Amino acid sequence: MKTRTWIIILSSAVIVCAVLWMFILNSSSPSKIVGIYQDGSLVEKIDLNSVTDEREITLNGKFGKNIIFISHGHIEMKSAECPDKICVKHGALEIGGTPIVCLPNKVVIQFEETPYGADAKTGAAE
Amino acid sequence: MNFMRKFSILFMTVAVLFCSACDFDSKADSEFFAMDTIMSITAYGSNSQSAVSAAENEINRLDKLLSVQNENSEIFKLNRDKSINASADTVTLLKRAMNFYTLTDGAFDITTEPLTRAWGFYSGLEKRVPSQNEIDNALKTVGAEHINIDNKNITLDENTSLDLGGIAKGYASAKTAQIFKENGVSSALISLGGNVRVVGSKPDGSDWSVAITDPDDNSKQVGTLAVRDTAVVTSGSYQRYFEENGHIYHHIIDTETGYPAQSGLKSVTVVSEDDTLADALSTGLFVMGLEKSSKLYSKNSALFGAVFVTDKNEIYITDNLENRFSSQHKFEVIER
Amino acid sequence: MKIKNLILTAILTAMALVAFTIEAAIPPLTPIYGIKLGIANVFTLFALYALGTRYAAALLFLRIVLGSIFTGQAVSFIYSLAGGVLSFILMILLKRFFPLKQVWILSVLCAVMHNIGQLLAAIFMTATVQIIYYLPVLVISGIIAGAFTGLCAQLVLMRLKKWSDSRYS
Repeated sequence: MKTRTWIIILSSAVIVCAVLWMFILNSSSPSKIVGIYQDGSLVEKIDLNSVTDEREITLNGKFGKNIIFISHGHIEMKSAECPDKICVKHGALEIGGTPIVCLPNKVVIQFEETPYGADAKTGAAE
Repeated sequence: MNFMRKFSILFMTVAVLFCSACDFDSKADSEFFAMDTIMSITAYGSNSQSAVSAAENEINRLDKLLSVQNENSEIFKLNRDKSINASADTVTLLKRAMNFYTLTDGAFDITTEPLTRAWGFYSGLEKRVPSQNEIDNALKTVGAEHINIDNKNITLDENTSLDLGGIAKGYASAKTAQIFKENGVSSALISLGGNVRVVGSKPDGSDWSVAITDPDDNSKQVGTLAVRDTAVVTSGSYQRYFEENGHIYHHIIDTETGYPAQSGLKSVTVVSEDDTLADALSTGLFVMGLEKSSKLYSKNSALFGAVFVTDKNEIYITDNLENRFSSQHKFEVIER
Repeated sequence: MKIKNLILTAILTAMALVAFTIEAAIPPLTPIYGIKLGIANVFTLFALYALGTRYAAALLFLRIVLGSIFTGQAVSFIYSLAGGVLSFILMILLKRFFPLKQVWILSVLCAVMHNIGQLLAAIFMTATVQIIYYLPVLVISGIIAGAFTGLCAQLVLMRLKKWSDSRYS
């Protein structure tokens, strides 16, 4: 084949790939994989984007029950029987936000990957 | 024969490479509760698994030693009996705390226990504004001059009580980093309830990126620091507070007034190779405010760097962090 | 195997290793893993045209093994091997269609193939199919890097045409 033909083929490949890449960059939604931990061990891993039906998870701890509510793209501590209920007041888990923590019952709900573009965050968990 | 020999050499080379590949990739992490918060440690390298469990044991041991609320801790016994024969760890930590008291001109103080108790910032207590009388009484017991260290014998003046909450996590993270180094872990990330400590560089050789929480919105960040082998600790009024009659009262108590510190700052982040210093100074600088902190920095720029967020949402960084800090916000540089 | 060719292969391997090691020491140009020029490939191409398939294969394999040892990144050995073997197979299959003036085109095709091989290895190693999203970027970077290294090899080969004519088939 002639060199010119090749140049045309290759440059069109570059253009097609560039368009494809722009498309991927715009369409990809951040992954929302959330891990629920109790006393350091994983209870369940959920991709919030693939949740279709609403459901609840009940965990039993030293200070009674924690009820976690899950729907599409959303997770929150619905109710807790621990004394301070900080985890319930925290509201829904936000991208880049602090994890939902119930200290008395040792429950943590957090994103599996750090979504804030850094390896760690200072001063967040207290 | 020749072929077999060549082949076996080749095979062994590949086998060795694959083994080192496994080592290189291995990662160990642990998340657990200690010191009233979440501890999260991640280490990379061949020895990481044993190093992480050793670190976890060490943190739990220190928690049992230094906790204000655990009835078997040395600090609890000291607060109750006003006198103990302390372990080496406790003595070291108390001496360092006294040094930081002098360094910060009294802004960092470990004798705040009676004040913190009066404000109800311990779990199980109700957070409230104490009466002026209560505050005045507590203030009489405050100050490092009420602590006496004689070798291993530590005594407290009557009514003085200690709370190492502002320094214990720093000490624990220093110990953890030390354990990692001894175990040959060259890359690790430690977060003790928001006190971040990085060991070495990331496994790929690049700097760790540590974000500083935006005091107004936990889900956002003020900026990021690119660091290696450093502790990054933030103290902020947003971390623990309560509201009463429209006023917000936070947990960092100024021992001059007995009230939550009103120094014009929302948060202070201290960057230092010395974890214990970083932890203590983040509280100390918060109480001192921007102006006094800048003066302290100009004399001690080799010891630490800092990022300040003021009440007006201005960001100030010390000049030794200029190449490490990046932010989408505007920030001012404090020259030493 | 002529002694002369053997020595030449050894020298070329050493040169490829130096290029590879220096390139590994330079911080990555982009945040995306796997994008680099691949200057070491100049030597593989040169060996293929100047010395023949067997010598080029030996050079490539030695460079990958020793390169992984020198840079201390054993993980990258698997990626290098996957990419290297795949692109080399393509190289010997297509070589006869490309005369000396089109070496750079062959290089482009091989570089793209190399990146695809690495991508497949990465998908296999990390068990995450989502990495396939990087394909377009890796194709573009392969075309650019391949054109550059191919041109390097081609220019050297053309300068040494007189010398390489006797071996060039």
